[in-house]
Amino acid sequence: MTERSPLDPPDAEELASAAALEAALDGRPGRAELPDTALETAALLRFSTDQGRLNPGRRGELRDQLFASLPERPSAPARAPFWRSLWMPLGLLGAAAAVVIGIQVSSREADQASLTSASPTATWAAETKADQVVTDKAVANRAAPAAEAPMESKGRAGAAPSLGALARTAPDGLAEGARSARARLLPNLKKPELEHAHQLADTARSEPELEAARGALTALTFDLSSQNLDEADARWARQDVFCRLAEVALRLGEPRAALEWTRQGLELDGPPSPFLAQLFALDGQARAQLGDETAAAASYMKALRVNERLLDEHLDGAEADSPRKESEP
Amino acid sequence: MDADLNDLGQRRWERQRVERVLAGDREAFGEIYDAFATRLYERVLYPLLGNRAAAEDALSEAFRTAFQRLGDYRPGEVSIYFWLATIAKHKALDMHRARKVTGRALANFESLLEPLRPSPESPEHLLDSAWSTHSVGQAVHTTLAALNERYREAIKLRFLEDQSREACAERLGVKLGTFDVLILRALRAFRKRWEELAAQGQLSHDTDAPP
Repeated sequence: MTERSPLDPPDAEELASAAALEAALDGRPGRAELPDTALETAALLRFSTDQGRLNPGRRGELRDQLFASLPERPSAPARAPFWRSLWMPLGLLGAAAAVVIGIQVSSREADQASLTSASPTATWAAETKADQVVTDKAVANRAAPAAEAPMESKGRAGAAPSLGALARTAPDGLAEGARSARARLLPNLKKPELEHAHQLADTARSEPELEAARGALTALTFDLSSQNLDEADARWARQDVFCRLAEVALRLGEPRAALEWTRQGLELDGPPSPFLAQLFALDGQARAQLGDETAAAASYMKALRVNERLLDEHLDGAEADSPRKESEP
Repeated sequence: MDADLNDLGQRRWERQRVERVLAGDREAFGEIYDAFATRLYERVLYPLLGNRAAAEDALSEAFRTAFQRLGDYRPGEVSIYFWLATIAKHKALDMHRARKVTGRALANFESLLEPLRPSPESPEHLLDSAWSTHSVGQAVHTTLAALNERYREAIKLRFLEDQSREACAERLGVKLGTFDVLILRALRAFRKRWEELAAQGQLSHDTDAPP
């Protein structure tokens, strides 16, 4: 709009806008002719004065009014999220992985001496048994001389899944869970840019395509937090974006970059979700690529535990589940 | 994001209050309210709503929701403030959505404050605002200095001195209707200058001053 001099005569439209603005400034209801940009500017000007402050006296009055109407206690923790219905298959996957691992543990106990491979498998099994992450250096040392032989050629161990096999199978199942959850989540969010970024990641084959997907996804790591989203939806959407960024980085052969994305995704915290499980799984893949098999195994284990918790929640809360009713966090 | 908000001691303090509230101690919620209400009002709600009464209502509603949902809150690596700020933003957006029904004149001027905010280093920054009211005041005066005298005087009287439109019209020697047009033009001219100065990087000085 061309800036007008104070001396220019107003036209009818300007007179209507001016009257609507004055009404709004006086706290009367806004009208169709209200010039929003002028009202925003007026609000900024008022904000620069004491009107933009909440003084302690007024804060105390508001607090008293609020407390007079608060219930005695906060509500019990919340409802089940909508994607709980997805957990049964994921939980079964976790359970299946646990059975595989359990078989391996038994086998290892029965025949310690025949352990010929260090490490990935042995470490994985040891961690499972102890229910914590430990470095089984003794086993690794015992097994070291034979470590060069391929897994498949090592008798009993050949029948057990290697860390690599677990990395390919269990995380794939978790990735499928994340894909299913994403398919449910994206339509609810109605964020075309988010859908576009995922589509780029889904279809990317060449390096330039992967870079394009990475660019679109990276922009979303900032944008999503400032958009009008339910807090839980926003967290899942962002966790998922970090998952995709880690996937893309791994496909580009950049495990360190993948680790950084999983770190940021895991920092979002929150309750168990398929995206959280997938973040741990990708974290494991990145660590495995970097040669830290013990840490990789720990990450895979965390992924499976998240999965087990989801299964538990599903079994405990299936009857109590109800559709989400509110849009607030 | 202010460093002290995510300080370990601060987060421990918050966690203790949350546990106390969940155990039935409402006074602990009052302590959380006292710690964050002013910041939420000045940095989140007023810039989103541009209206004192609406910002106060949204503040109360945000804390009511926070109290009711405190059982869902999971302390993380950042302050509870960011959880509260998210709730507050939702309340403000709900008010904007309901504007047609309530007829409330709301004004989101967050974008005008953008030039005063440093570049974000993490997504959490987007929930907070590193500007201070002091720096906003400075930027306003810088912009006013670039306006013609008539517009500057009208804005000062109406918004900085908070005088009634009748008093403003009298001071400027014009009729009420004329003053209404004058203030509309003055606001448009101010915004234009503000955006020009922001584009030139001339507004974002002295953001270190305390709020």
